[in-house]
Amino acid sequence: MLPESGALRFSDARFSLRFLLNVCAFCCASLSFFMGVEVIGRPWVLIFPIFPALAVFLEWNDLPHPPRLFLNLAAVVTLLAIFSRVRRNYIVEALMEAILLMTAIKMLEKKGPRDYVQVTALALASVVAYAMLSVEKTFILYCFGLSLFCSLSLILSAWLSKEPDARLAPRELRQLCMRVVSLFGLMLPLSLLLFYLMPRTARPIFGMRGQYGTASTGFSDQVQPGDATAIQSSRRLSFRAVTEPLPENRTPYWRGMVLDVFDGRMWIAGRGGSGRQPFVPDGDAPRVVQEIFLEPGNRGVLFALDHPVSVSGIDVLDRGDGMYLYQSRNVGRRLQYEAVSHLSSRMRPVSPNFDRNNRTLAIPPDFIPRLRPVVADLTRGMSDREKAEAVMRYLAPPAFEYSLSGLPPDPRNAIEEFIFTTRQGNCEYFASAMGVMLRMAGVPSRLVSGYMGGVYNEVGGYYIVQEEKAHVWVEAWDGAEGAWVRYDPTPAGGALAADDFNALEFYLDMLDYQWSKLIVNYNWEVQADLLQDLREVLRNPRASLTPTRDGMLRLGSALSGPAIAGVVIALCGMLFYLVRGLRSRRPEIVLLHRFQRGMQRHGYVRHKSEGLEEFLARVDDEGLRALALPFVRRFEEFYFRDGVMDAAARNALRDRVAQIARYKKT
Amino acid sequence: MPMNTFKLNDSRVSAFNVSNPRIGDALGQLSATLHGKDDALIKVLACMFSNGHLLLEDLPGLGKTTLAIAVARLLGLSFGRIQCTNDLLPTDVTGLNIFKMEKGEFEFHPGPIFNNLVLVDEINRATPKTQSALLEAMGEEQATIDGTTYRMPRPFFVVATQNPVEHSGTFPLPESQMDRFMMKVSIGYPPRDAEREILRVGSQKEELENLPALFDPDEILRIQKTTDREIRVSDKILDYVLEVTEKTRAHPNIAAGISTRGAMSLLSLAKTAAWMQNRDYVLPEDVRVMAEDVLLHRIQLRQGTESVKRETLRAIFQEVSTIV
Repeated sequence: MLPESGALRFSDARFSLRFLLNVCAFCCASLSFFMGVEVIGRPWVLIFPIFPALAVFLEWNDLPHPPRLFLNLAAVVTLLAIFSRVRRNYIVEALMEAILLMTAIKMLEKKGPRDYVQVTALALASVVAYAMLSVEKTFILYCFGLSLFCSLSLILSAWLSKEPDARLAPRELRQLCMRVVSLFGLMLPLSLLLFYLMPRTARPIFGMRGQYGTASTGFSDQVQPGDATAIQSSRRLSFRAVTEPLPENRTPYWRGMVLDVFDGRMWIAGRGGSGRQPFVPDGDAPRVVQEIFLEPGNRGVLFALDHPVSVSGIDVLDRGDGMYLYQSRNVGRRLQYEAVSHLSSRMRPVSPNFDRNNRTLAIPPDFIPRLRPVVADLTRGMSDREKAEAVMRYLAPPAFEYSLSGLPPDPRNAIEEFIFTTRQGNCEYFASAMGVMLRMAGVPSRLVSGYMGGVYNEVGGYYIVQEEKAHVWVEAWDGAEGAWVRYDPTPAGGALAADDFNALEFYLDMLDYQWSKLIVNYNWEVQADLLQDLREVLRNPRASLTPTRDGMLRLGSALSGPAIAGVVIALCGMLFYLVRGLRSRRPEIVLLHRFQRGMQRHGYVRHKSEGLEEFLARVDDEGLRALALPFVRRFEEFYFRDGVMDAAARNALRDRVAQIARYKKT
Repeated sequence: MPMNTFKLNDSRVSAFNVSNPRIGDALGQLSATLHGKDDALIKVLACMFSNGHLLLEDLPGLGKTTLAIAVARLLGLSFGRIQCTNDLLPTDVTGLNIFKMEKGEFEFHPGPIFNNLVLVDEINRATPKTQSALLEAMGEEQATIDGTTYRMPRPFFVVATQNPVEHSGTFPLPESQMDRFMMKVSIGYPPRDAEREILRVGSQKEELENLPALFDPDEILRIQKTTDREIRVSDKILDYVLEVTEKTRAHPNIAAGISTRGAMSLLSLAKTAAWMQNRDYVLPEDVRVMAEDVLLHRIQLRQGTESVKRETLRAIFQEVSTIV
């Protein structure tokens, strides 16, 4: 009944779990390393391989491992060094270095089941980190290899924690590998399907400050001073703009709408405007490219640094005067576009033949009669520019103060009240007053609404612009220069709230940004395009080679971050449950299940309510019963006498189960 | 040595092998005279070694009395018999004080209850008053007569029988008193082979008289101690018993489930079963082999007959895993 013990064959070899796990961990670490080798700094490329090599050496010669405390300390110090070098263009690389370093150090430790799991977790982390940089064919290969080794390693480590001295026969190892591969094969299409079909949450997992603030201040597409007596500021995010930080002395003005029609109460954007026309670049004004991620709820106005010369990457309606709108006003989702701006306060049209009698001078006929003499006295005999500067001086503190409360209650005479009585208000009052006074003085003027300021997130490399930064300023025509010149009559003090972001909040905001960029902005259109490409390929595989390549490129780019992240998350989730399921099994129960499987081969299935003795009494085959009886007796002795099964006993029982499985009726 | 292994005829518990040599010998002796009563014999012995009382419920003429006498003899115990009628008085059971003229004082004449093994025939014919006296003696192992307390000899067993069919002129035991019996066992009709043997040999009253006593009271007390103290009960077994107990309490068709005393009885019988099989630890099988006889008379159904009760209990056992 027992196999003859003959010459040593491969099928008789037994691999200890620890050996297999070491191999897996080594493969995981190597794959992570080869994947990250082009990303990490040169010195690291030389340093990292030393660790696994050393680990192999120690393991091979059975030398003591370095103390954990020492390794952990070394890791912390090096990690600090790595993270101190984090810049916004150097996040993933640093992350990769950190992950590889931790992997390398883990390799060197004396490893328990937990440590093997940590190695696999680090390997998965390296996949995620690398996916943020690039995704090519080789990456997919790495990804596949790592997933297999990680799965195997997790299963084995769960096993190790329960049966530290288990040994696997080649056949069992092969079965285990097959199981891992089939697990992977089962899960991959599923998680891809989930990623492409499931809706993505627009709310990030990472809570961003001020998300729930009441929106009171904020951008509006018309300016009507006096429609509220007190205004609260809202810290809700309006948009993020990825760009270089502006020099200290330049406050960023984010141009939104040009409001050139004034009806005595409110400023609105007139239809037509001055039409599309190019602008002459203003001398040495720097040209700034921005990539803007606009949160929903801004009525289709596409903001850009004042003044934008082009907006692209989205269906844009160029209204002229540096005002860009989203074609579809249905803006329930985030918009992403690119803008190019000249950083100049002067906006000089190419053809400055300006008609002074257009709507930029219009005031209702009997509008604040007592203001006219004041303006006339203020600006008599001045040029356009001097007039504007005079009005600026007139509205300057201490005569006029910035305030968000104690505003005139009635919109019908709000501007008059502001100028003559209350003398305090927010930007709407200052800008409206200046606009009106300039028009009275015969200087064409208009209001521009948008945002001023914003917090620069050094970590992410972008401006955070919140609703409270909403602002209105004035543009006045300078006939001598042939340009619209920006004037901001609002006193600076109150307008700028304290920007009390701390470092952690910058990090959190960056996570939030990455989330919306990678996950949320991945929309149905991309999905539809992908499907289209896929259909093309399926319909005519050979002829559609070119579009396919294009499609594959797009597939690749779409796959990049989010897809891999999705796959990895799904993988982790499934493995977590798998490992938990395995962990919850006790070795004696594992043995029992094996025994039952063995008996099942001979047609005997134990009911759960059946005792083992009863079960055995049912077995008609004397030989089988004789073979199984010692197992049952030993098992019962351990199980029902609360004995502890030592390795020898476990091995003996396992051998017995193997015999039962092999048993042939004579 | 004669390795008499006796198997229960119970088809559900086919794995009961009496491999304890002492019990094997005893059963070997008994089965020569009592044909086809192995099941009942095993259970009677188990009940005695678990220090419990037994209720035999069967039709007349199936050998209840024979069984009791045979056991008493085999175990080397003194034997007393009480035939219950509705005019049986408590003093007929316990004994009474009789005034002795010559000594000028009362002298206690112990009743039949003062024996190691007491057969109470047709207990449901006695009046409740007498039943109570009997049950007090069973529960307390003592009897109080005219203010004096007399202890029963140890070991002390009561084997009561009752007739399930005759109802007129009987006083059925209340449920609470049923609980005092560790087991309720039916002998049932003997198998055909055994019955043929009985018919061929005829009455064996004399052989009964000649049965050797294989045990003595002290040894029985020792065995009781062994089964109680030296058989290991894993928490897994406790959980198994508790699982069953809880399921009987939660079952929709069961009005009153297993009491804690019931669970304790089941457990001590399971220990004895393990000991009888020469094992020093309890298996779920040990619990199950005793379960029906221990539990059925403690369960009260909301509706349905005795057989429904049995099926319900079997279904409950089907749901409980033996190894978790």
